[in-house]
Amino acid sequence: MSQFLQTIVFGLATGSLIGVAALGLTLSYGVTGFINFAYGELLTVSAFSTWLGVTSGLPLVVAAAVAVLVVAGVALLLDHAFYQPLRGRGAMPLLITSIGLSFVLQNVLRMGFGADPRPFPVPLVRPWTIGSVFVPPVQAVVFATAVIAMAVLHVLLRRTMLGRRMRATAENDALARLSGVRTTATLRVTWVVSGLLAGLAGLMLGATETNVTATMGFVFLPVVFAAVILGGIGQPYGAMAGAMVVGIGMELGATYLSPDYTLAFAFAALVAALLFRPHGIFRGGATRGT
Amino acid sequence: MWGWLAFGSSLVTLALIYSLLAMGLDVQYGLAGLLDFGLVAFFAVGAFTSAIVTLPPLGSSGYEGNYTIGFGLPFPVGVVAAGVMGGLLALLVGATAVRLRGDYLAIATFALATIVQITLSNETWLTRGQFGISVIPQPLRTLVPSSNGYLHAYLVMTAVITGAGWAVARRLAKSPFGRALRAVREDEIATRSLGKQTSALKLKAFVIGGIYAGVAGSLWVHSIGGVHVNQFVAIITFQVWLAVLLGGAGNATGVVLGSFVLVALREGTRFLDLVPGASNLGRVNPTFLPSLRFVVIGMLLVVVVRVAPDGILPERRGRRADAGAGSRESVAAATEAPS
Amino acid sequence: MSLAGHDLPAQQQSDAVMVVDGITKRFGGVVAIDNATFTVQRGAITGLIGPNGAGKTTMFDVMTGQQAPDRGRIELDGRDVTSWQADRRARAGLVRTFQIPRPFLGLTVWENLLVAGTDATDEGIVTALSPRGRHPAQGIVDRADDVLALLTLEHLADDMASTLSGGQRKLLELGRAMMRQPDVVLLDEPTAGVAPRLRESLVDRLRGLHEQGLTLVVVEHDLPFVMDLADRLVVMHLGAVLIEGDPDTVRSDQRVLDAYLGGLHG
Repeated sequence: MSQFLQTIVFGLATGSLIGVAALGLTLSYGVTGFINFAYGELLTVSAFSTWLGVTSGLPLVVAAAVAVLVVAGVALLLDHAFYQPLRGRGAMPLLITSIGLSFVLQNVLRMGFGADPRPFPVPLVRPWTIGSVFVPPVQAVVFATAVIAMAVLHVLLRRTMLGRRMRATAENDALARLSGVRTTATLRVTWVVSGLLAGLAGLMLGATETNVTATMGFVFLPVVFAAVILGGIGQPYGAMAGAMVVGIGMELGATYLSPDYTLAFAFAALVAALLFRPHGIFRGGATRGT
Repeated sequence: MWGWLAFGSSLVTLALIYSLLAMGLDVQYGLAGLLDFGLVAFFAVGAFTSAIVTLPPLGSSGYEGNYTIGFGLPFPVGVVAAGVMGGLLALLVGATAVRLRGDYLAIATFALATIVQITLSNETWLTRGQFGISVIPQPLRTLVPSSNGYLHAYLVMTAVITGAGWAVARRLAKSPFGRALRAVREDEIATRSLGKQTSALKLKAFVIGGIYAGVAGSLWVHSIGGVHVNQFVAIITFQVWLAVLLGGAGNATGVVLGSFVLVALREGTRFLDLVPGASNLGRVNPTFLPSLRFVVIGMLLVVVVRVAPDGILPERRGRRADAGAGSRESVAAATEAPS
Repeated sequence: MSLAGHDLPAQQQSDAVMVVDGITKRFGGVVAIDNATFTVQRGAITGLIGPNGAGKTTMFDVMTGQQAPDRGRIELDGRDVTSWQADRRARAGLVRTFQIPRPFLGLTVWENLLVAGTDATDEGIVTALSPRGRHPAQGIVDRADDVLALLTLEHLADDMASTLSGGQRKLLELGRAMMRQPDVVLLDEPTAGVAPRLRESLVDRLRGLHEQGLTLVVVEHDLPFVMDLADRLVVMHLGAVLIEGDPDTVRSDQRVLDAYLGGLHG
């Protein structure tokens, strides 16, 4: 029983990490209409920036904050230089472009920092014990961060004009433009918000894996895809729920089936979701696509 | 001089193997519009199949490694088995996945390729996992004793197989089958409303791609003589994508050309070592030059999609005159005139 | 309440090539088609009319199998085809065109016609690799030649469909449907966007096809045009079938007038 509870605790933490990453990806997918394959690298950039900041003397919190802002800037820059010029040509060119950018970013980082893993500067703290279950503080922080990120995004989407514009653009780009929404500006803001969430997720990924490599985001990306698809593309709440399913599923699979296939469980869930519920298991209202 | 010739020979062999991969992807994407982001899985399965089929069995006289599975069958069996296994995996994946809308298929195949790689690295009884399989038998080896001569002989054999693949791909593209695939690519709903079983058409295209990639895997594994799970990373898939987009999707000759350009570019970056600054950097950071190569490939994907979406050789159109049509034109027009 | 079945002589009634029986289709909370029933007589031109949003295009989607109805059944040639996919219904002789034409943009006009005319048996991989795959069957080439001539698209044969005007695309779609040698053709606004000069000849072509025994169902906004062309009319309003009958009956029906006026003001 305690092994089961322990697994659930780890699963919640893993799910939180996946969830924050999935929020950013599903948001940009919902509004822009294509899957950003360079999204994983945004997480990597965040982790590298934090490492760089701390090794050059910044306090961890400052370095982390700077890293998140850097990632938002990178997301905006990629949109401006590469994605905007391809608007109106369908999803395929954007998809291929994002893959190209993914390899560029990944390998620029490797050119700069080499292939050796760098330690993510997270303080070592003794885990708390609740009954017979261990709760490492890092995982508690990851979980709390996910809850806060979800709450802030909820307020942003539901309670602000900006959120309404984003949802309008996601529903119908042309119609939103007709009703006076400046869709280009809305898309830019979407990339910034997506980037901020990616930055946050990068910190969480670094803290969880305790080190930083150039491929960490790319390797993690399919897991995020799984959560996004399970939740229904463009559905923030669905993405979070999907992430919890994937996270807990991965931990349960690793504990009770085989730790070698942890990632494969996530992808199997993804493929199953694609085949049986292509609109997501938690699909709520109408979204783009058919 | 002979060293350079051998180097050139092995590069051309590599380009021909990439050409097979590119032609396979071209049937899937160029003709049928299927976004296969997991092509490397079929390549990997072909490579391991061919290796295992041709390895001498445990305890036999030719046995010299630590592997436990081997069938000791001749190389041609390995090539055929690789194609069959590549096609079977594609059938298994495609039977359900080809129904998915474009970008969902991209994600599904991408994830499935990762599952295949995880499986191959964990099932060590089959693949020897992180140790890899070495001393894989090389075909014709006894006939051509000199190692340079062998490279040339292998090149000729690869050229013959790739040439056959090219002829088939061209015929497919020009045939009614290819035309139906292109219709599916353009508008699946309209194609279905004309009575075509579009899922079956897409599945066939997907399986053909798997067969090409499987055969490519076999040729590759025997040219290198060893195989390791970590060789089959996602970047292989996207290098093939670059070859297809660069050469011209839907044109078999184009994608072969694209593959040669890809290999030339990729191997060309080796010579950056000769640039004084670069060689210093390479000493400090050994991953610098290999990484630079992938930066170039990634950038090219971005540039090709943006400025040359049709590639070097665009798709060929079926012309009316080629069909021997128009001969009855005057008759048809005459019968219509009075109405 | 449909008038069909009461006013028609028994012999004509039995010659229904398609029966739409109690079809209901909802999208979320919106009822697009509401318990609609009517028949399509063999060899007739049936006009399917009604104000915007009456459910005409959705009806085509359900008749061709592109959308599954929530309730009701579709009969084609006496067979219940409700569970058949769109491609199977097409192979059984039912073809359609689309309101916004969907030619294969990346194929030439000629290739568009050949694709439509070729049967699945000739689209196999074995055929592709055999000498037979080199050239299309002469029968198909001849038919495509005739269709090109009929639609006056000969000069555009080798042009990409993406370069055609809206009206030319409509014609190409009609040509593609004709290549299938169908029994029933559903035409969704066949004259929308077609130049007035071509329009005349298009109407002649449609009449010509009708005389050859083809069954046509036409969705059309241009009422005078469809009143003139059609033998029978089915009027839809807010997803329901309002009345079914010959043009004179429909013209004098108060409910139809109300529906159109209501449509204009609502």
